[in-house]
Amino acid sequence: MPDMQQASPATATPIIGGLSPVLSLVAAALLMVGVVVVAPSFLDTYLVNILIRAFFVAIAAITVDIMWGYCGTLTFGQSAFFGIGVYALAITFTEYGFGTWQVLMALGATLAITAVIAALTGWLSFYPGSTPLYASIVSLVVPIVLVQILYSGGTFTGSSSGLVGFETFDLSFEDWFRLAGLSLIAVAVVALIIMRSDTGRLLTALRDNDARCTYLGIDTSRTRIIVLVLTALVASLAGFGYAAFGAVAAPENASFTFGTRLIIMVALGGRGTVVGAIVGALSIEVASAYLSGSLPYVWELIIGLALIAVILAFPDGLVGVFRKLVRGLHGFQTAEATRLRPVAASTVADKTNELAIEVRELGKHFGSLSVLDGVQFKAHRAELLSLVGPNGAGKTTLIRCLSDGRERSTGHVAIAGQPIDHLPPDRIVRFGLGRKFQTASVFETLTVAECLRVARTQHAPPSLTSTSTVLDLPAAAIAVLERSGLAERLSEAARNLSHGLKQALELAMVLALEPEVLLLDEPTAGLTRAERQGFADILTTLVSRDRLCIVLVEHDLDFVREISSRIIVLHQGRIALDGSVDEVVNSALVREIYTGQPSSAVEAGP
Amino acid sequence: MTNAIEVEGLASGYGTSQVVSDVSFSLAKSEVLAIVGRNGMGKTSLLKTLLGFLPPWRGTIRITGQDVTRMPPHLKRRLGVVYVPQEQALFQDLSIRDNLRLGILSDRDFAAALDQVGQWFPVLTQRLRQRAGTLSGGEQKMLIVARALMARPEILLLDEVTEGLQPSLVDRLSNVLTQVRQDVGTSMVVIEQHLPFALGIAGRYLVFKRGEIVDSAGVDAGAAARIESQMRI
Repeated sequence: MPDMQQASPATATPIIGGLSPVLSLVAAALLMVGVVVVAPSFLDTYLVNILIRAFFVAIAAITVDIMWGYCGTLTFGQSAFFGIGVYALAITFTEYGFGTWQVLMALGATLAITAVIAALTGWLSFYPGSTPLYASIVSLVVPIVLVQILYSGGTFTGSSSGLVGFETFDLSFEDWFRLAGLSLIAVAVVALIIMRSDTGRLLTALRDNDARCTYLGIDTSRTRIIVLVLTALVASLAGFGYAAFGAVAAPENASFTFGTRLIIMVALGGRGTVVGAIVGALSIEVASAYLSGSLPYVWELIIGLALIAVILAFPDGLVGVFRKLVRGLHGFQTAEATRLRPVAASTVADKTNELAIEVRELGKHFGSLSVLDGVQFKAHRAELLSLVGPNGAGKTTLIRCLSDGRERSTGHVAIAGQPIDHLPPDRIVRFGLGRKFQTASVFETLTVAECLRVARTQHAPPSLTSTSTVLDLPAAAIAVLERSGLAERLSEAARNLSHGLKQALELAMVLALEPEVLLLDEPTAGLTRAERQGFADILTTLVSRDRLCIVLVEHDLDFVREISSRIIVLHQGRIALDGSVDEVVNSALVREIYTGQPSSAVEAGP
Repeated sequence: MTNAIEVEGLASGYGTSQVVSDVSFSLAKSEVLAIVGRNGMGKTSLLKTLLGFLPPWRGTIRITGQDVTRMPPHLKRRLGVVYVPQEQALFQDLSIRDNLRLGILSDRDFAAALDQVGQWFPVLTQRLRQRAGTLSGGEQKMLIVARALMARPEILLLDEVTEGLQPSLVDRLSNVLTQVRQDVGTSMVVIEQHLPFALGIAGRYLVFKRGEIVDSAGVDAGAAARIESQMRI
């Protein structure tokens, strides 16, 4: 169908400007290593001193960028983990002196305490259903509580004056500079590789659309907690290094003021870039060091005004400005073309239950209002069950109760033979359920190919280090992509797609799960008749060839009649009719609900 | 008499890709124009450009003779232009009543307008205190349309209003729109995949393809077949 291939000149050309992204990253890293090794001989001692601290702070800023810029959680709490590193070292060295065992003990304490507190914070912040705002508030509480503990710790924590005068590593300024600089480069390179990999895309998907991720079988809470613990560990090691160099521990190192400063650094440099966090951290640290000496009272004001100016003029931060300049010069683009490859449909047919959905005595109540009551039915494999009924009959609510164990008020639901109990959607998806939402739900900032790759997370865990150029998809998903014309627009950002194409993309994403039970909520809304026909073909194939059980919510009776094997009529929260196509379509009740649809037209058929 | 809308050589797009290309058309007072075409052809982008949500690259837009090419959307509302978008456009946490109230500019006309809504969509006025977010998909759509209509707009832009509505409601909506056009003299632009609905209320149609108008004619008995065949090419 050549007419579907809308020209999109901006996305079709895979240019690899001289070097591949990995090679250019390695080259840049090596260059920076060279600079870091040589620089201390040319810089004055004061600047070297400031830069060493700034390097450690920049590592913490990178962790904020990962949490905020990539995962979408604005966090004030990374300072607390930085502070744990600072204090674990200071307290150990103060209490037990300096030595190999003490170093290992301090390091162990840093990592262990951070891991426990980060996991606890993550659990509080990201329990299913929590909002990003809630997570930010929790992240604000953590450093405040920690600083209160430090204040009340007496001589053990040094209270408000902190800990000073403990013995620490005996290294020259030059060596500290190299150590801190190389650590920063190492963290930055690892962060960049991971964030540019398919795993990085998965984190962006989490930020874009948590619900869609859940319904792709991804445990979003767990993923977020893992990211928090890992970034917290890195931040705590940065704090460890900071205290080891400075031989000072102050409550400010753990405070939310410092946490806010880290956010400002990331915003200034440009979030979601890693490099921006480094640029922001180094410029703010160096500028404050010099300004606080020469302008002791107004320097914070100056930095604040400068930040406002930068953010108003360049919302993408300093790195964003730089990128625009580079792109303007070279027409720079790194997106590689993705190739689709069909995978054999998994042979689920023989291992599973013929009974695809079983619903007994299902009810859903809001207070005294019953939205669903006494709903009871079974659906089998290779059956296309249409769910019809007037607006507000409870169709979408029923779909929700089938796909999320926490939704229903009463009753029993089993999917592919497994009771869904009170399980969250990501667990039920693993039983073989796929759900397409009523309004298109995709990952707006990802490309079409990336959206589909995230959908395949269960079958092909994303790489930590690279982006794959091959996308394995089941035949049904490829058919949807080809019919809709999306196959030619794989590198287009999803947000640029029309409403109808987003619907097609979401359907392809759900089919990529290789579900056994497919729930489709008004999937043809907004499609042309030709597109509808193509869609009907795809569904019919899924039912007859792949033996899927499909539950379809639909208003178009002609369409329903053409493809269904059975129809359930839902009316005021109860099943009013459950029978074959002819029985239901010709019934008086359905004609009453769908007045304006004369029965002769219905009987005419295609 | 001046046309309600007069568009000349209009072009717009996202980033560097142009999605609306040199579109010209006019809409007379109390005329209904259907814009049809496959998905992804730029129909919604055209409406967004008319409204000012998407900045025009070239061309002019006139509303009742006045050049509004660079006018921001909220000022166009004061000229009587009302838009029913395809995506969710409700205040989910407000009640049905409050959502409706926000559709008109002053309290004075609210009671009468609410009565009118009750005649069109009784299911809404029976549940005025219910939170809009708890309505089903189709009911939300009704609410969006009702809110737009009670403003008695001069110009109404409808983007896929029948999506998710049961057939009997589609018929009712068609009657309501025809009635509003007669009573108020509203001019309408209707983007629609539901051809019987669109051609039932429109007097003229445009077929849109890759951001351009490829056909324009009056609605007659053969219109549906012609459009179907054009959309297949």
